[in-house]
Amino acid sequence: MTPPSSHGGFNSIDGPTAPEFNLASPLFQHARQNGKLLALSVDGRNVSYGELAALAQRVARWLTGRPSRPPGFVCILASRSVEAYAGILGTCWAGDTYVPLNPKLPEARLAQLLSMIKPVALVVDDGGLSALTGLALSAAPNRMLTGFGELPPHDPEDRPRPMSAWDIAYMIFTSGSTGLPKGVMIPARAVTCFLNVLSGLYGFRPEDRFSMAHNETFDVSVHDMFSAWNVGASVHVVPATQRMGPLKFIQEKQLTVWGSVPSTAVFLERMNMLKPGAFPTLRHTIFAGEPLPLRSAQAWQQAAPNSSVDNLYGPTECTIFSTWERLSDTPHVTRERGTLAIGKPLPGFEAGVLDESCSFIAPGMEGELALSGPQVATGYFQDPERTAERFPVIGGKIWYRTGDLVFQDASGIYHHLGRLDNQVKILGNRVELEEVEKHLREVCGSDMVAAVPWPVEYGSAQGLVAFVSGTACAPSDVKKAMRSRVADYMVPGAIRVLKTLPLNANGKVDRRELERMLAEEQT
Amino acid sequence: MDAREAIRAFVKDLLASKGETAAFEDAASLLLSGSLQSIDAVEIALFLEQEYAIDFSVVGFDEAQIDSVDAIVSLVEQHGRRIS
Repeated sequence: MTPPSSHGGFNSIDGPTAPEFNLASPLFQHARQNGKLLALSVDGRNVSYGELAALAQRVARWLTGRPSRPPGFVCILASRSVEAYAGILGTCWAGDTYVPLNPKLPEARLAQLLSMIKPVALVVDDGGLSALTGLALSAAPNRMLTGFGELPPHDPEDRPRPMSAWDIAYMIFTSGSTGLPKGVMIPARAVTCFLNVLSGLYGFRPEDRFSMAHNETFDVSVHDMFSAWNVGASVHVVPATQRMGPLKFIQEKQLTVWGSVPSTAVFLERMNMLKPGAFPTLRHTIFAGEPLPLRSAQAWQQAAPNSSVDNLYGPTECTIFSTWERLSDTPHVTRERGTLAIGKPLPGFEAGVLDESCSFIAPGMEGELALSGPQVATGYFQDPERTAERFPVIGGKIWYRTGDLVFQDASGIYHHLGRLDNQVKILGNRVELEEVEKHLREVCGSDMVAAVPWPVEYGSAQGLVAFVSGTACAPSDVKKAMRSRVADYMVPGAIRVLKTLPLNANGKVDRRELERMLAEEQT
Repeated sequence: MDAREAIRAFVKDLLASKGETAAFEDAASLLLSGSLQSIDAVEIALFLEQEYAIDFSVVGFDEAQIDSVDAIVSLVEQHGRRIS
């Protein structure tokens, strides 16, 4: 079959000649027009557009003052702080590529990433500074910004540098099945297109008050920040300890735009915290990163009667969101899972379903979701083979093969049924089980290991359970060693030691049987 | 069993179910340290709701409030009442 038709394309940007691709440009404009407007509220500190633009511009001057000046990667080893956001904006302002790194990463993982990326500079906040020890410090570049006191002075005439459509705006790392994280490179054109599409859909306003519940290493944060700063609105950073249950935060900050993983709604619903009318100020709610249970979406709608409640789906490789579905009185439900459907492609996207031979199949049949359009990434950092495999050219266009199992119903709505590989989502974070198992094997000194997503509710994993065999390591030691190697959401919550692990017909560890064992224990 | 003992016993069982059997202090961080994960915060919250009638829609929810046995005891003393 030929590729399916496009959903349309208002506000999409074609070609490399569009005038403005620097993500910091709207900040500069708003700072000039009304510098006193609130841009950012974080950790009890309010930062105006004027202040934030001045900080970003000073960071940019520090970056552009380096001896060699082709655009490069600037790692942001900072999170949920003024330094983090000014570092990101300053990198954009300078025309460089920002690469967020979580300061909570273990030293070895951080060192591995820094060695791969070879950044031209590193911006750190207090948390980042304390993460820079041993191997990580050795792998860090010479040019490090560890305190804003050392920045050059502000020059009010200095503007964000022009960027071409194909310059890389940011690079985000996700879990990789080979054991190495994958860097997804997003060009400026893709982000600009994304922001235009979202602005068209939602009509964001300067008086909007956006939540920032995601870490900067999760690409939905790009929407939180830049959808707000594009229109002169403010961003309110949710304290890390309140992200699961942000009831009071939403109320006290009078937020108008909320964005989070659906687990937040599930938790609030379970704890009976979604009282009708609890969130009267919300205008828009955007859930993304994992399946959205219908029941939780409806409970949220009652709590936020003035808000749209949307399910946004999208792989990092297609710049944040690719399809969307709005909760209505007659919702499109994916009955197999009890979740809201992932809906229709966003304007500018084409979507289709592929069979195993990479040919498009008819609506109604199950297969792999493929996406094409101006938001598709440049590819994976230093990995042309994987890029060619996941971004094939079909019918003269570049598509991204998502690895997600879907079908399209008779009304054109897409339904997400799961994964075709062993990738799972834990609170929105992509985790390749093979990567966790690689580390388990090394830690346990045994090949008999398995990582199983558990428990799974509405197609969404709450955590991991590891099964190991043939090891002398105590479970607590395995857990401790895993914490020193991988991000916290990749550390199994429980380690089970068995005499042997069940094998399937191919002689591989049978994860399904292990899941069945866990399910039996629960009943 | 007083509240502290009951809470400590619950946390001990929760840690043990994750393979964490080492002794722990009442002041020791449970969630922010990574010993327990987000899903375990749900377990703790449900326990407090069921056993001590803590209404998180009134109190609000902050992981810092349940990050240690000491913190949980303090939360129960301020906002809870024994049900069973």
